[in-house]
Amino acid sequence: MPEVPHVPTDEETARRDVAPYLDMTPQERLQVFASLLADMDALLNGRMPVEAPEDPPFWMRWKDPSIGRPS
Amino acid sequence: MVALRSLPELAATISADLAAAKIRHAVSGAVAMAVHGFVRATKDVDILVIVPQIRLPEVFAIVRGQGFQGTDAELIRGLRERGFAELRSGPVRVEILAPVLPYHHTLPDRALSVEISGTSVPFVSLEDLVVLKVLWHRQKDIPDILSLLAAARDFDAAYVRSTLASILPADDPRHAELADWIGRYVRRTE
Repeated sequence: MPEVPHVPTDEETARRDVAPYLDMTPQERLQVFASLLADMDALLNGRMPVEAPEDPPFWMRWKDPSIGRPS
Repeated sequence: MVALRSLPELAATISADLAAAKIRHAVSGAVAMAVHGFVRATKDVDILVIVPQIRLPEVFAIVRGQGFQGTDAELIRGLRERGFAELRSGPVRVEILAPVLPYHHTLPDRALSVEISGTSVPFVSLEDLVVLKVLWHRQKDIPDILSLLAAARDFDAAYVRSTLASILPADDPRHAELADWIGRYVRRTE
């Protein structure tokens, strides 16, 4: 039987995403953040990032918490 | 054109200028999430400012001083109609948020001050980032919430619960949803 690759759970993903930074200071975390953004600068190479429109737009959620109520 | 890699320094510079003008504020969004231990990409600096309308042009002038564009008239219209104003420079946006809910006014009170390049910058607390994202509940907010909870140390779950209870009706499913997430993701609670 072929082996089915393990798909990480939401919890595994969340823990993996924060693990490298748990023992860092806020300043160290911001250095990593700036490094990630520098990679984005290199990838964009002067082009504008493409944005998916939000529906409903963020400002409606900022003004009215009832909009975020799950159906 | 402002580069994305400069966002932390940009947030610190704008914050220093706002503080010098005695304007209450707090940095939110992905820059604040990075401070709290969840690092992900963004192109925005989000800053909540609590200031009388008559002083809004001072806020916009501070941001324009960093190379951003936007006229006072269009920015004030944005704040009146949408609760936020957006100034752009290349791929970078600075979003100035104005308080709409009474809760928004309290965010700077619990901000975490972090020293950046000699400036003490107030960042929206981890608990308040969770509250805000539970309220907004966009698709991208859910993984942000889970990662923030996984990054949390000494998470004040009681504050988050009571704050949401003061904003949302009792039958809102977000209360139970968050309780489940807190139970599963937070290492040390209350």
